[in-house]
Amino acid sequence: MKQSAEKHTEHSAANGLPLLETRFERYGAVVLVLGLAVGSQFLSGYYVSLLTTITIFSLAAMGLNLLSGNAGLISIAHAAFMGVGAFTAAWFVIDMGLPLMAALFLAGIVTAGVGLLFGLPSLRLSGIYLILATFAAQIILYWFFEQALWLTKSPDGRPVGIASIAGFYFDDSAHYFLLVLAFTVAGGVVYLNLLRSGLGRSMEAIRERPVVAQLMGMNLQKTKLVAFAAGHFYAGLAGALYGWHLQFVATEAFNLMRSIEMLVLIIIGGLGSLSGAVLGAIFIVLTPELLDMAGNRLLDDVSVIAPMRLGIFGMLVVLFLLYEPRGMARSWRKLMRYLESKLFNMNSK
Amino acid sequence: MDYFWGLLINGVLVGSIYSMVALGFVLIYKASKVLNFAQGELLMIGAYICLELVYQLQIGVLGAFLLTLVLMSVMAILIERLVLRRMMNAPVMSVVMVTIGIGIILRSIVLLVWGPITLHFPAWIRDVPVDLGFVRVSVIYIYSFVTCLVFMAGFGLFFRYTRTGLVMRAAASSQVAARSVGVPLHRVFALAWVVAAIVSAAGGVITGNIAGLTPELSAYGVRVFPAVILGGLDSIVGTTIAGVIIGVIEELGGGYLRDWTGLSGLGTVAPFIVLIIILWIRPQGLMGTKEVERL
Repeated sequence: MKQSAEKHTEHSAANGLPLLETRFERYGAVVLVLGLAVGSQFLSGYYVSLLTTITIFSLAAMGLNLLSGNAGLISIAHAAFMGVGAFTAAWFVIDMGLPLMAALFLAGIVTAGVGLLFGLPSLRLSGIYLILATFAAQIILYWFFEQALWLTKSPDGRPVGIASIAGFYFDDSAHYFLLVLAFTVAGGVVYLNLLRSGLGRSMEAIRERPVVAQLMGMNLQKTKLVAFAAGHFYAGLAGALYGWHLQFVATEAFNLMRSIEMLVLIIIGGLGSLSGAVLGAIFIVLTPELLDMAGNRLLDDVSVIAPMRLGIFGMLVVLFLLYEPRGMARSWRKLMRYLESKLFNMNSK
Repeated sequence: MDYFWGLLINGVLVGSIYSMVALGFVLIYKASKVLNFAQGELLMIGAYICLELVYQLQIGVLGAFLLTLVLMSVMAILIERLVLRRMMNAPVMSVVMVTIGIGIILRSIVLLVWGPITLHFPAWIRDVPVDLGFVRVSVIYIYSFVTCLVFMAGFGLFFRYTRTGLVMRAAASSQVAARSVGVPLHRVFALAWVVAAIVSAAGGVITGNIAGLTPELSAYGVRVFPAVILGGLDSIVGTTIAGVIIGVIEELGGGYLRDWTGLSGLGTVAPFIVLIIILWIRPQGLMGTKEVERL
């Protein structure tokens, strides 16, 4: 984060826009990342696991946020594309014997390609067709995972063992968290960089006013293609990381409900922003855990917990859309602005 | 050959249910440009409400069915009033998500009240096969098919000959023009939801009678999508035809393709492959308006 903040003084290609707007945000980001990296080493396995899941979901959500939040291309198959990444990465490493880093990268590329295969026709059409096309992609891909045993080994998924890079085995989950964190921070820097570039702003222009954007010389087709490819690259990478986190690529983890959760994540978190992806990921991972905990404590009949959780989830979705459609990122930003005015009162931007 | 006819008849029947449910989906889309992802859950909860009425009130399946339609209409009006009306100018994504949210709530209600087990309607028709000459069909299939036809014909006549139907068609063809001549759009939207709830509930009760009730019934809602794309998103006639085609593809796909390829579940997936192919070659579907935006 620190490095990239310096980078902007060297390159003024992005019109001098900094990655993070205020000094408070810059310091905050560095402190957060360092704090997580150090702090995670002292946590118990359960909390490291939660933290890893949140971090991976943040990475996946950046992709979906780029796609749906910034470019306005709504995908209801993000989880299925995470699955594509997870299974291809496993295939590259275990069946083809490639090193992990290469496999992660290739998994992202393959996922972007598969995404284009499904999304290409609808990129010419209005957003509604893309929603239905990605819905079909979710159904078809999930079915494919269950059938293509050369890739997935069993309908339930395949074990992938412990991640290793150049002979170093991530057998401690806290170490694996560091790898995930590194990827997510890199993903976040790329995401912020994209947003401040001309391309990122073209995406938002095209989402808001496609005709005007074209009149101003923006290339609609190209912009959508880049958004689509980049968004799915994130999905593939995150899916692959998720596979090694659980040490098992489970087909079930990439079902329709997970795709819906991903969309809910970015809506509740905040569309089109990095903090939205992170806050949404925290929300989507922790809410079911807390509800389960409360349910186990309060209810005698454990069989009603799952449907109750579902109902509360549905209700939260509807209420958020009705009352805070811009998500938690906006409330978060207000809070941060307030804290910042307290802390950096003299020379804040 | 019997195998083929069996699958075909099955396909046409399932397809006619799709056509009927798709009618509701297209109507909501045409009236308010909302993609209703809760259509399947409306179908599911309609079937469960009917079942509950049958057992609680002892008024027979037909009486319970009619009462279900009334209750479902009330529910549709509530959904439209409390949620969708407030989302009128919201972006597409929010509207889609809100219908998904409603669907999730309905599903959790079904799971909480009735549980995940399969429930059955009481046998109210003696299940005797009818000989059509070339194939024998269960009588309940014939009842179901006729019910679908009656509903679709009924709504066809309603749109064609009543004043309300005319108003709805006007609003569907151009919201701006309709509003400028004084069409109350809110009422049209509410009515579209009522029609959608009614056809869904009818579809749910029919399938529930044939195959029993599980929360999986809601899958019918999404199986309507291929029919809608094949027929053309804004064409009621197109989707009606396409519904039957999709039903037949599904049955023949599930029957023959499974034997040829050894892949299971191909029947359910085949319509979605068709959906993607249609988007590649003819995105406006069989009879929809060509709408290539934002090129």
